[in-house]
Amino acid sequence: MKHFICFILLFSISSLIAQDVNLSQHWNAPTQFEVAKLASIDHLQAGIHYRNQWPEELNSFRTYAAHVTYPLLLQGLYDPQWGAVGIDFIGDASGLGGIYKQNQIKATFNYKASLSRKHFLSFGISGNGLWTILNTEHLTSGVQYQNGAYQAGSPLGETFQHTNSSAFFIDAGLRFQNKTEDHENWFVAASIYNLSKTPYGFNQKNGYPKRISISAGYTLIETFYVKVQPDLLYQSQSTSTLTVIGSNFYYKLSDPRKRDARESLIGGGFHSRLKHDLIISAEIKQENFTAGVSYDFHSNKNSLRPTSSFELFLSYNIAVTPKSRKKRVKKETLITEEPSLVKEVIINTTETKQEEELNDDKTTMTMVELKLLDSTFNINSADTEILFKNLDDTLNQTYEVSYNKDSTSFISYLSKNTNYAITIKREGFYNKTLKFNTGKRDSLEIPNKLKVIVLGEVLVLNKVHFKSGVDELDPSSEDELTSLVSFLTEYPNIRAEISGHTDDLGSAELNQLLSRKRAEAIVTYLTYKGIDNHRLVAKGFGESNPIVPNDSNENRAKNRRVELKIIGK
Amino acid sequence: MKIPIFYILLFFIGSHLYAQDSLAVWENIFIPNMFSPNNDGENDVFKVYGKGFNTLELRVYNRWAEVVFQSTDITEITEIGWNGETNGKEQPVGSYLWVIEGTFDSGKKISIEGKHSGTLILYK
Repeated sequence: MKHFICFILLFSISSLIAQDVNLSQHWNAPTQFEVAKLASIDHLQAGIHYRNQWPEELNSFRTYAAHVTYPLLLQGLYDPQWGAVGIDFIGDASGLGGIYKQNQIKATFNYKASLSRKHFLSFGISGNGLWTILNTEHLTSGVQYQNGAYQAGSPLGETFQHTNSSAFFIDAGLRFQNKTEDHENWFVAASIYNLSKTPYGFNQKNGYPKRISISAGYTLIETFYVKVQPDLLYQSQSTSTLTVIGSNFYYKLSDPRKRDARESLIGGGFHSRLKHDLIISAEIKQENFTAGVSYDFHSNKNSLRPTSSFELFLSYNIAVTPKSRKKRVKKETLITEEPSLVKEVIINTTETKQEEELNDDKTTMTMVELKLLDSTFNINSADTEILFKNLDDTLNQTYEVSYNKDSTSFISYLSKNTNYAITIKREGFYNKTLKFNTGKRDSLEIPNKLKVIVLGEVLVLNKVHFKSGVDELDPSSEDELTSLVSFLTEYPNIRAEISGHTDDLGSAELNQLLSRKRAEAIVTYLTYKGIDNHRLVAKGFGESNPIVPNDSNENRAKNRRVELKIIGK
Repeated sequence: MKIPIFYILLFFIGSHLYAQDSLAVWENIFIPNMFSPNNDGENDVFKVYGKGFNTLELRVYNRWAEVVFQSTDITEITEIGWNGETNGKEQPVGSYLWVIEGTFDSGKKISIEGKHSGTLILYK
């Protein structure tokens, strides 16, 4: 609500400054300012656009545009989208009765290359067919003014035989973006239009001038409620240049605390064409569609100013790319070393009962031979350490186990109804401690499986909790986080990926954001505790990677989790 | 009683229309919506045609709302005109917007069908 008031306040102030009219955009067809923009639209999308420049005047300029964009998807390593194709239709009519019409069909191909996990470079190329039609019925020229008065009749006093012409142009552009999952952190794009300098016009003598367009955007603020994205557009053609600087402000209507909320954003934009115009825009963004309107105010106080412009925009996502097709990073690709590393060690126990007198208490001790059975895992190697701990022992000491030299087993004495912890340590493993109670019965209850974590394997951090709906860590998480810190300190070469996951309730985008923010909160905590943040990667997978089907509250709770993955040394 | 008022009204309307009509002979304006600066001797400049101008100001804007031509000199506007160049550089083929302001000798404000602006096509 606070943000909303600020937004209204900002809007009112800008309205006071606003004087009058002029030039906008940011919308229109997506390739009109960035040829390589399509590769960042990952849905099958169609849109329509209408712009009326100086509508107060009799002979305003009307621009109609429509676009269809089709993403090219593949099971990629970091991003599933490797390109896009699109078709734009742009119609432009000037003056009464459309005396000058330009119709353009533009076919665009984009290729996107992953430079790293976060950086993508897109290349775009467009072919344009352009048809120009002069409507002679409404055309007037100087030859019609004769003998001191306007004479109706043919305006074509000269060689205007060709009132229609056509041309073919080529446009090309690059777009460099930094994004995390679906969130664009920043981008820089440059495009050259009319690259081919095709001869154009009535005489076909002059090449149509090139247009250069440079744009950039940055996500300055993103919280659960607001998003602020400043941007910049610079264009240059022939003797003209245009610079538009401003920012879009979004307010998230959907409450992240309500888990079933659908994605819903409203936004407003304030842009300025340096020293001249103020462009105000408003936008509604829903899961499937985006609609917007913008209005230009010309702030030049000269009486001969042109008046206003307005623009309408509607785009619809015909098919939303399912998240399953957006899966990145196959598990195998991350296990760079020893893919056959053991994940489970079988403990085979042989009990020998023995009674001992300890002080005054009569305690039953049982000698147990623990044998770790796995042909590929030699516990007796120099780099492996087994720690065995009696958790009920007030001295809390850890005692080394004695190995049987000839085999992969060790012997220890265990008491009944006592808590023990067993840990296997080895470089390249995340040593999960197995805790067990030996039980009260005659025979000791010893679990026969000990799971060790290897490179590439995933550990669910069960004891890390967050406050509902936000990325704030609950104090109860401290124990597990502390052990995580000591582990990461102990093995300074290990790199870890912290990933957040949610259940399927609520909007996918919001879930994705929440899970990312939560993973980032853990990374922030670990960094604060002295872990080098280059070793940590935070990722948000939202609802895309459930471990169990989201069919009950219990299963949903399982899917709401934070995972840790050892991604390398 | 009603009849004289009707005739007075009719007289006023009629005389007003007549006055408008007669003024048009001495004061008129015509602004073409196209010119072709290709040096073939026909329509090579954009200028304002008409007579009886007292003050006149003309500006031509491109689609990016930049002023590509402006003048307050009646001779420049009605005789020399705009040759399609700005600061010595040829402007591209396309549509432009002109805006005019001024008065006729009679003191009447200049407008074309009540408007002060219109489209201009530069084509060559």
